[in-house]
Amino acid sequence: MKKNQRSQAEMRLRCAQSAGFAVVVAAAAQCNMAAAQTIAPEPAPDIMAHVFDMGGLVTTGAVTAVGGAAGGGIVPWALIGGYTTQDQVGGTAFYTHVFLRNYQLATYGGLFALSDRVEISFAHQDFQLGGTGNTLDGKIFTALGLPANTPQDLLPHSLQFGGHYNLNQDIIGVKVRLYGNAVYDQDSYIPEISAGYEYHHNENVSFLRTIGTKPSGNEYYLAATKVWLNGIFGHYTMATATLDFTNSIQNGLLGFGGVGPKGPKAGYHVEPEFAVGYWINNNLVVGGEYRFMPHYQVLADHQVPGYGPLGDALSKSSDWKDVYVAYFPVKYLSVTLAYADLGVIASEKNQNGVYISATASF
Amino acid sequence: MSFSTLGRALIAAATLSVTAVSPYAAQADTSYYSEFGARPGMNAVVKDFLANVLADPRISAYFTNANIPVLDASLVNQFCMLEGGGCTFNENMKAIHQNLGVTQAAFNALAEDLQKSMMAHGVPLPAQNDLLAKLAPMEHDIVTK
Repeated sequence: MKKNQRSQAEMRLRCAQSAGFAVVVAAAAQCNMAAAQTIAPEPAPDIMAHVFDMGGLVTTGAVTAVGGAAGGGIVPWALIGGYTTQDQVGGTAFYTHVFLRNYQLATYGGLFALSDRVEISFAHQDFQLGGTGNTLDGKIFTALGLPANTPQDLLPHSLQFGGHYNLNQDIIGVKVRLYGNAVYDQDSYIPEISAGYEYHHNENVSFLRTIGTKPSGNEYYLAATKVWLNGIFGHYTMATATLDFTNSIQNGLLGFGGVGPKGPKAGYHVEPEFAVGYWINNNLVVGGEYRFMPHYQVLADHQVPGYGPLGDALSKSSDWKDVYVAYFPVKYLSVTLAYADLGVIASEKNQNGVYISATASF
Repeated sequence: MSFSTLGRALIAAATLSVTAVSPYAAQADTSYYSEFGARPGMNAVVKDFLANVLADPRISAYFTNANIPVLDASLVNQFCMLEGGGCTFNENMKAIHQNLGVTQAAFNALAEDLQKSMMAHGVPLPAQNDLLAKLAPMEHDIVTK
């Protein structure tokens, strides 16, 4: 028995040594399998069940932000997605649909989590203009002082939306937990701290070129999340503060960077983001989020005379905010219902509406 | 006249409120311990908790060589101490667990089994969460892998 214990200990030591930042998936899985085998010798353990065991204590990290990272609806949290512990791999897949007053946003994606340390995420967003595309075409005619019956082809092709236009972007993200654990560190005020990076690529290249923004951009963020297990009224309570360093316009849906009087501008903005959550019970979380958004000028007058007022209307943006209810019927599934207010988007005001999202964890 | 009526009403109200509040005031002295049902309640929660653990394929192997009655008594003592029941518990968590190779996943599974037992015994959520909040930081001492 003693000998067996020692060999287990050696195995764990080897695994712990390899469980650094850049640990490859296969190695992590292998170590976990070995550990599972040694602690549960018989009957033969279900290896995969151990590898993807739900390690989490609290139903955190199993909700996804629209950018693909683990978080609330619009703000990434410091938590690593899924329910991995330091010796597990896991992940989540999600679908989100936002029904705004004039538009709809459909988003799907997933993330892969390694050892509660690294999260690699992907998201695809379709921002659907729908019938509002025709309204925008009309606004463009008016802004240019053209009569409404002007033939469409007098406009640059990239500014004709019609009734079925989508703004699409792909987002690849990576998040690394730098310090602390939001759940275990109940004896300390120091939160869990993670650093994240998101690469955005918008597919509507010719439209973005016309309005003077770039199709690709970066977001760097530092997120701090604290969970109090005996928080408000003795219930789990979560607070997150995130600092975002970004050049995205409407989160990248209208491109990146903007234009200045002398041409393209690439300046980054620092924007704070906040999220809170309150667990009514172990299956039901309510909360809210607030995300400050950078403001950039697009479509400046110097590009094409007469575009100035149009550009000003298109440049207006608002901070994003939401209130949400997340329900976990079982630990590996969450359904989030939110009321989101994204303000002005592409000159249309009051873009608020219902946000529905589902995340499955494995 | 009206003043003394008001005074009498106030005294009556105060008496009523003291009578109404006093059972809770007595409970407040032992904080969350009484919400666990004091000694009998804590015994039952821990008994169920250990039954859950021994039936949990994720972690039962850790307890193959454990003396369950001793562990039971020790846990009752520890939880009683943590929840203000006036017990003394001074075992060193780090020393007890140092050779067990406890993983974070095992620690979480154990916490889940405890939660399940507290839920089954109708322990109020704030009392449950208070115990979890006191146990959670022990992860640093217990998890060695």
